[in-house]
Amino acid sequence: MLSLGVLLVICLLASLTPLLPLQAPDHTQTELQYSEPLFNPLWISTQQLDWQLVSRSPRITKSLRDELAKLKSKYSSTTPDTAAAKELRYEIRRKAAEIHDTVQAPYRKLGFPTLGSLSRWMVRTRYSLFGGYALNSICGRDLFGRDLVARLCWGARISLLVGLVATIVSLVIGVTYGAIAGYCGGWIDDVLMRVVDVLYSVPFVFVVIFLLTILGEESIADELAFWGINRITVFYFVVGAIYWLTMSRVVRGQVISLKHELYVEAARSLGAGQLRILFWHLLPNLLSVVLVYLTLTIPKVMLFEAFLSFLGLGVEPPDVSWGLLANEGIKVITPVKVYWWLVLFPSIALGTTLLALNFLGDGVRDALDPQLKDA
Amino acid sequence: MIGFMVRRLFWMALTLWVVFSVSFFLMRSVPGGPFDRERVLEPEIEANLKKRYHLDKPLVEQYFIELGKVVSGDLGYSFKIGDYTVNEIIQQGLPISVALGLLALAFATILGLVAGVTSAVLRGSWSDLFLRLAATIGIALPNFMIAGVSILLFVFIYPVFPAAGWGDFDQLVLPSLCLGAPYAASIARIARTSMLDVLKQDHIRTARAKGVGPLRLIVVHALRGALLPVVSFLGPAVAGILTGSLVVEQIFAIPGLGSHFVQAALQRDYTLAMGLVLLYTVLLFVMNWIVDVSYALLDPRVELK
Amino acid sequence: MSTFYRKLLVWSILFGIVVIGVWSSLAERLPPADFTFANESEVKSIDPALVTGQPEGRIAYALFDGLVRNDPETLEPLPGIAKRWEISDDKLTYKMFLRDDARWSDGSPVTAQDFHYSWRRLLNPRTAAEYAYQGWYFKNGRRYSQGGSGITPGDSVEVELNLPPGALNTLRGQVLRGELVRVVEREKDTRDYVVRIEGTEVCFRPTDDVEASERLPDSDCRWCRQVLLDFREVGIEVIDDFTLKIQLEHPTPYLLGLLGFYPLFPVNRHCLETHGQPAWTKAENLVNNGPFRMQFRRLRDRIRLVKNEHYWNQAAVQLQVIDALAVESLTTALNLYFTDKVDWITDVPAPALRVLMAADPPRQDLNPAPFLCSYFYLFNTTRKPLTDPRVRQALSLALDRAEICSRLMPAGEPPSLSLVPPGIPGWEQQRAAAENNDEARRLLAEAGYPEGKGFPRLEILTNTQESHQAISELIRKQWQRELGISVRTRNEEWGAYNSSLHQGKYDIARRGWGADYSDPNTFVELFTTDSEQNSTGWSNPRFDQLVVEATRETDHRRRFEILTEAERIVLDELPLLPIYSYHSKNMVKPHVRGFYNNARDDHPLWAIRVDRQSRGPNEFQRGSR
Repeated sequence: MLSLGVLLVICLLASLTPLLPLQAPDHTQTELQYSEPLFNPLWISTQQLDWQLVSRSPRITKSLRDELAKLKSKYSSTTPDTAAAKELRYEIRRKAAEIHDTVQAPYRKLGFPTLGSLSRWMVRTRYSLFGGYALNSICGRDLFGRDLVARLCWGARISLLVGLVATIVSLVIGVTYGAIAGYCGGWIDDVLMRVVDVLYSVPFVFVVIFLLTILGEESIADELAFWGINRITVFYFVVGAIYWLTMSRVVRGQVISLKHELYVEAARSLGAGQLRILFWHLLPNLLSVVLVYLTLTIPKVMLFEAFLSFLGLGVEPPDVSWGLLANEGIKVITPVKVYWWLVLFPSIALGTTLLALNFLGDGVRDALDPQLKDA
Repeated sequence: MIGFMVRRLFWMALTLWVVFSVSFFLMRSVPGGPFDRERVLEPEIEANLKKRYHLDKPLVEQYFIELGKVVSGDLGYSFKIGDYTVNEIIQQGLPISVALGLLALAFATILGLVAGVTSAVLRGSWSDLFLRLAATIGIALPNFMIAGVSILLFVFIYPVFPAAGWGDFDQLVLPSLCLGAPYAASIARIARTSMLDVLKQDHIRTARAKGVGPLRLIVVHALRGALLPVVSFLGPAVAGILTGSLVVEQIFAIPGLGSHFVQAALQRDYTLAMGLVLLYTVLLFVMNWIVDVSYALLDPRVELK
Repeated sequence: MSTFYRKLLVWSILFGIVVIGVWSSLAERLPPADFTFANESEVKSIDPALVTGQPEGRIAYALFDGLVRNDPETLEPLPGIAKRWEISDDKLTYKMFLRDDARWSDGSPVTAQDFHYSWRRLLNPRTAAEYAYQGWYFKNGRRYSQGGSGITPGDSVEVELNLPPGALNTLRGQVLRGELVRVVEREKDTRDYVVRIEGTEVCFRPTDDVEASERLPDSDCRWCRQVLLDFREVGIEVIDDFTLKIQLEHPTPYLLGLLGFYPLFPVNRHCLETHGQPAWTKAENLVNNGPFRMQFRRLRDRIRLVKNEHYWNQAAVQLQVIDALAVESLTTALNLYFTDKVDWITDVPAPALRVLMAADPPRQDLNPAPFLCSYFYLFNTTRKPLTDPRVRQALSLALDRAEICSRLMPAGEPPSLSLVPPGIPGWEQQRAAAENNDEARRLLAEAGYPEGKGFPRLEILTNTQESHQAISELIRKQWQRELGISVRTRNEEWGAYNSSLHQGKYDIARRGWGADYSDPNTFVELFTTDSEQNSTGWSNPRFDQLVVEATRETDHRRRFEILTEAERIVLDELPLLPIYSYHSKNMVKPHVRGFYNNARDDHPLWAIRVDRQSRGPNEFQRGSR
């Protein structure tokens, strides 16, 4: 229960981060570099949001959006791979960047990373509530004089999101795959499960690193960026594509044992379609398995993200994650001087969350499905 | 038994083929391909090089040529360490990684068992609490952090081990401890749980009633029963140690396959990276096979299939 | 399975673990080296003709020896394998007299033929040496190294014929000599060469050995490997075993310095042609002529060097055994230094350096000093919007170099607005326009990006190292702050970064350039249109002309004036973004002697001694802060 409470607090903090009176996570003050944790004064005043700029931006972006729409329609009518198309493509990107810049400018100026509309609203609310006041750097500052508390909170958002989204991706793949295999049975089941067997013995970590470096190749990354795909998105899918294997096995087993239950037979005799039976009648019964799996996979994914950050393949600045922070902390451990706050606080944040998740996962597993224990 | 091995070999070959094909086509999809050069070459020299490496042929033909080479055991030249073939690099790195991994595994098993059994026997005491806490921390923290902190502790604050390198026994201790730590923690947890189960069983009570001493009771009677779940954990542990060595070898500057792989991937040395991925697939298979066999040997109820 | 077997299994596992433990503790222990240093990354090769970069250079200098050596302190050329030389009045002909007691490590003498062979190998396009242009100073050296592109009808040429496909790759095919009659373009990148040999015209078509062995050409041509300028036209002439005549394209005042630079060091023909490439670089095969031999090389661990008993100047070499450790991480290197495992580290991570520099009393093993090396960013001028000089100017004007240097560079590196770093006697520093944020914003608006809006997502590429990454991060923030543009940062490992750089796969890339020889030309010539190192796509005919003019000029002052003018052009058009000039960051243990701070941060290993008895400050500390 304690772990559930801790997790709730962390998730709450992470989701409400833009609302909290914290300093901007990417606000650089090199004159304050490596300053130790400070409690006195507890509150400091920082820059205020440029309200004029904020209020002006919708008007500007509207006209820009119209222009962009025009460009796009023109692009779709040109033949691809010509000089003209290339030129247009460049123009489109430029226009899109202009819209993005106009919207983000006031926040970026203060040192926020790229924000979605909800986060922008939260940041605005925060500035109208607290003004420029922000919590002093109670966890110290890093090389660029950025506030570690703020970075931890903003890092929590990415770390948790990565864990959650990648797990959900793997969940969707695994459940669908396992359910189909289990429900269809016969040779389909055989083939599908053999595929899983093969994939099981692939050293995935290595493949992922290989994949991420190839997708990081400049021209490929550039192409992906045009479609709005960055490394985190790639990460979601790649990691999701690994962790579904166990899920699919478990789900298959459950579906096999469930599909001859009476209520399924009843639904079938009432003329329900195959898909309807599968997704409407069978899957809801798998909820407990799914829940157990979810809580056990999220910490694994978060650890994996930290691991990739260590290798320099994780999230890219100005975004920040706990893995990245921990790695930054480890890098400044030298025999000469240890900036202990840069190691300690990210470790605590990462450690507590993973511990809580592990405990919660064990608890849920024991409560819902004791058989899964040694799976 | 023979059938089991043949089937395993077949699946291994299949897996290797899948891994090879995927890596091959990924590699070739990179603009510039794996044959990135640092110098712009004369067109004729470039054309000659392409012919030499069959790059002028259609992709499918290249694929079969490369496949043939890999099957015959030739993994080609490393592109960033020009003086070595991939096979030579593996030859140098593999013994180091194997030694490190086995040592880490030994550490993990011994430490984990001792800690698990101790905390099961001393259930509820302070040492139980401390050991369980240590175990959970070991599971929850990424091993690069454990490694960083233990360097600080054991190299500088209490200088007992050297900071990095490879060759002497004392250079092995710290890295293999760091590598084994998370698995020691898991083993401790598993051993504790199963030990508690065993201790509750009748034959232990009988033994105790017959006046068997506490030490003998634990080591001879209880431990054997507690060992099985630990062995079944060794499979995942081996896979994890292979992965973990990527980080630990980097931090302790150990010239094993992990360092080679990370550097190869980051340096875009695609031939070396692919060779190592294939090798790791084989390693993983062999290790899983060993674990399966030993599991069957330990527990008569398990059959190999 | 009976209990007996099960027990046997358990015990054998336990036994195995014990055996492993004992085995790894008993594994052969290396006898310690006299001197150990952290040589940054794993060297790409030890072949002096193929490598570039400082770690490779340190090994190449230890294993090979050239006509000229550099003084470890002043870097003045000292007699090496050449015991003396004569320079003609027009400075175009050098006659080098070789010592007759120089030996290869197999005992055979080092002769003028060795240099002839090695320099041809360096220039041969098939060798694909990155530093081939160090041989372009020889007369016609450049044309030879350009292969088919370097010859025109009327030239005397050599045709290298194919060998059977299995032949060692270091062997040259049979060479036919004749006069080039014409070149027939067949399709893109394929040419036939019609050569008149002893009165008959023969058509040659270059191809790979395998194709040559498998089929005949479809027209009445003959296969060949390549067609080159006749090497006899190149200004390298063997007079006798111990006399070498060098003719130059232009008077090159720094030629002696170049002869002491490793790309022009000789390799052993017999060794290469017995073992082939790259097998000749294996420790058991290698025949070399430098102060040390390679005992073994363990990848990503160490290269062990031992004193070469055949070295002509072995009396000057004090160290018997040296370990060059390949340590990628600066922090690990520092850890090794502080635990006395290494005697010299070449760089210190910034967070530690900051503390070490502030130590009171000042540390005696750290003595940063300026050397000839510039740190700058390259703009890829073929990519929008960097094609626009106003944008490049704006990016330069908006930089706060003082902030970068004071916050991130604890060794006291000075901000720089120039390409050529300070420290070359007689050279007058040129500077790009001084930082000015208002002007920067104005220029950017003029280029079409008011307040930075719509500015494409440019990317700064650096090689993976904490300090480079920190600088790019700070620059990202500075541009963000002053110009409102947002750029991204990307880092790649050295090898990958080099490939990206040379293939122009970047927007903005970090580059450091250290002087190969102590002359401004080594910096200025980087940006000529056909320079190997100019990956910016920037090209300026006037600039190219000035650089050529400078090479022809014999008057020292006038030459500097021309080069000054050339640097002015670069700094006005800014295909690069100067940031700072380097300080060396060596840490050297007090017992190390013969280690000097010098203008190129080169520290030849033959000059280094270890003396644990004497107490006085070593050469490295003298003249310290």
